[in-house]
Amino acid sequence: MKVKIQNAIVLTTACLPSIIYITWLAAYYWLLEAGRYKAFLQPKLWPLLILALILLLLFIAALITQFSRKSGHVLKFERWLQAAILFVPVLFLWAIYGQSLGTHALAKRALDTGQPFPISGTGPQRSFPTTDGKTSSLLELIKNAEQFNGKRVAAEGMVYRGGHSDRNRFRLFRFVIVCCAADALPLVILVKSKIAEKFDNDDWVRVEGIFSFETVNSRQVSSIAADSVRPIPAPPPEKRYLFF
Amino acid sequence: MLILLFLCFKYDKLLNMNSPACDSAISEHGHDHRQGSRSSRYAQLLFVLLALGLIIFFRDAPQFNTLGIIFVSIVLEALPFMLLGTLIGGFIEVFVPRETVTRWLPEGRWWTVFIGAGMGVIFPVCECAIVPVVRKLLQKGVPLSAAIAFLLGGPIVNPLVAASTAVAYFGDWSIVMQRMMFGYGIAVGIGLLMGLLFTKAKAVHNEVSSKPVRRDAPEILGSGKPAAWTEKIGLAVNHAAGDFLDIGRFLVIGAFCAAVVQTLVPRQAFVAVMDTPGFSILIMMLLAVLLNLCSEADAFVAASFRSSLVPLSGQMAFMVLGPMLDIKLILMYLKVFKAPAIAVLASLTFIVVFLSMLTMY
Repeated sequence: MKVKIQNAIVLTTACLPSIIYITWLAAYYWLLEAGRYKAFLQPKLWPLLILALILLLLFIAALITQFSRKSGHVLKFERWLQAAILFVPVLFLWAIYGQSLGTHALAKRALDTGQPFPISGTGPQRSFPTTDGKTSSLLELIKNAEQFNGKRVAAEGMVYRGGHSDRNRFRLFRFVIVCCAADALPLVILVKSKIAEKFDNDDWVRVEGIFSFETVNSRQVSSIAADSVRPIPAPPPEKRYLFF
Repeated sequence: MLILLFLCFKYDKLLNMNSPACDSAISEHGHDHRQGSRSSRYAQLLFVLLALGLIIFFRDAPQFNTLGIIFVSIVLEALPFMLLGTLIGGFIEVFVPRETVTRWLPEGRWWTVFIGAGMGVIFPVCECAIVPVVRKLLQKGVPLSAAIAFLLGGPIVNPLVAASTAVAYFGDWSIVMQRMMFGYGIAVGIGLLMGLLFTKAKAVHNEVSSKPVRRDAPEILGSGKPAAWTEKIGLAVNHAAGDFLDIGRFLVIGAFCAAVVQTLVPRQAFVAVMDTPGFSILIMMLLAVLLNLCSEADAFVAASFRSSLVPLSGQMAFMVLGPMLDIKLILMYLKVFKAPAIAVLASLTFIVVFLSMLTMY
């Protein structure tokens, strides 16, 4: 019995590298399927995931074709530890899928106005149609703020009440991702509404009102004087971020 | 986190002390599996236990969500690059004879540093992919100074990074050019300095600096006759698979440390002191080390500081230092360089980048 258990451990240890790669292959496939990776990565990075799948398949094939049971005897503990470390991100993936960056991340990342782009930016100017009734993304609103000034807009995002918000104000925010959630930048618009206090941090809302600028702490910030704020269901995880 | 980093360094030191005995353990796949020291095991075990503890006890905390999303994102983005880097390394190992490398990049020639720093133009890889490639290049006889110049310059002086910087700064090519020039110049400077301060044997691990076995495919196969192409390719991929397992764990631990910092440290705290001349450069450099962003994305984060008081020199410091030095890179360097060399390399990089950015004022 003892010998059998020992043999099983040796065999499993020898198989560990392949098991690691197969686990990662499954994780990348699962993320690519139905676009789940967009909860973490920029959608344009899908070729990167394909590349990962191909390379992982190659590695698995190479390990299987040159498999040797004897390798299970070499530094058993080291191999298990190595495998455990490489499994940790997969465990985290399993544990946090369905969640997204929220007010906690915003509080750590916001820089005064929280805008990653200058409001009267030097960026390429595009002409936008009147947005009456249509939802504009916060990215469009902030990048082209001057064109929206004084116009009626509709935008969706999360609520951040923060420590400084008064009863009639909150901040509407979303994160914009360049490559991955680690570089996510918050886009924030001040919302003035008589029913602002009804909403809590991280609530998803749709705001309609007049877009303008306001000076807060001697800085110009975008704001919406809202005549309508209503709760909306949180989008699926892969649609919660905006992408640059 | 600091304890974890300290233990990793300590483990590296102990490994070096024991290296002759440790280097003898070679697995069936032809990869070194050095006997880890007790400190090594503690550090890595501590990481695994810490991670599992967070999943079990803090899964519902908002901090856990932020930490988990950032951690998983960094690993998901970096892993394909690392796989690619190790594959390139595997092919270099099997297909590129040492004689060819030493003919093109001979030891003791200063001009090889200038070639090394600009090699990113031909091999546009990010900082995660470049570490396993440099490891193999060093094994193949590339001079230390040229390898370091490639390691530091490659993730900046490449067309993909130039393009992303141009997009982030709305096509301002003067900023793109400044980033490329600073990246290239600093890589050359530090490459030369490291070449003066260290010999290859003193700077890199024994198995990286001299590899008497496994140089060519026929030797590895043990047949003595030339190996078939398919066998060589299989061998290269097998090497890559082993190398990835060896280095990949440092990527995971580094990404975790970066995620912890991003979760706990508010960026506003740094920005509050940005208006002090010179200090903004230092703060932005510190942020670059702590945030661990990909060199293809960091320009967007740097550009986001334009709306605050950060001067261009601070933004440039962030974009130049980040691809050269961050937490995950320091941990990955442990598989290539000895601890004293890493300490000198990190210090030199930090100082040279700081002094270079001061010239922009």
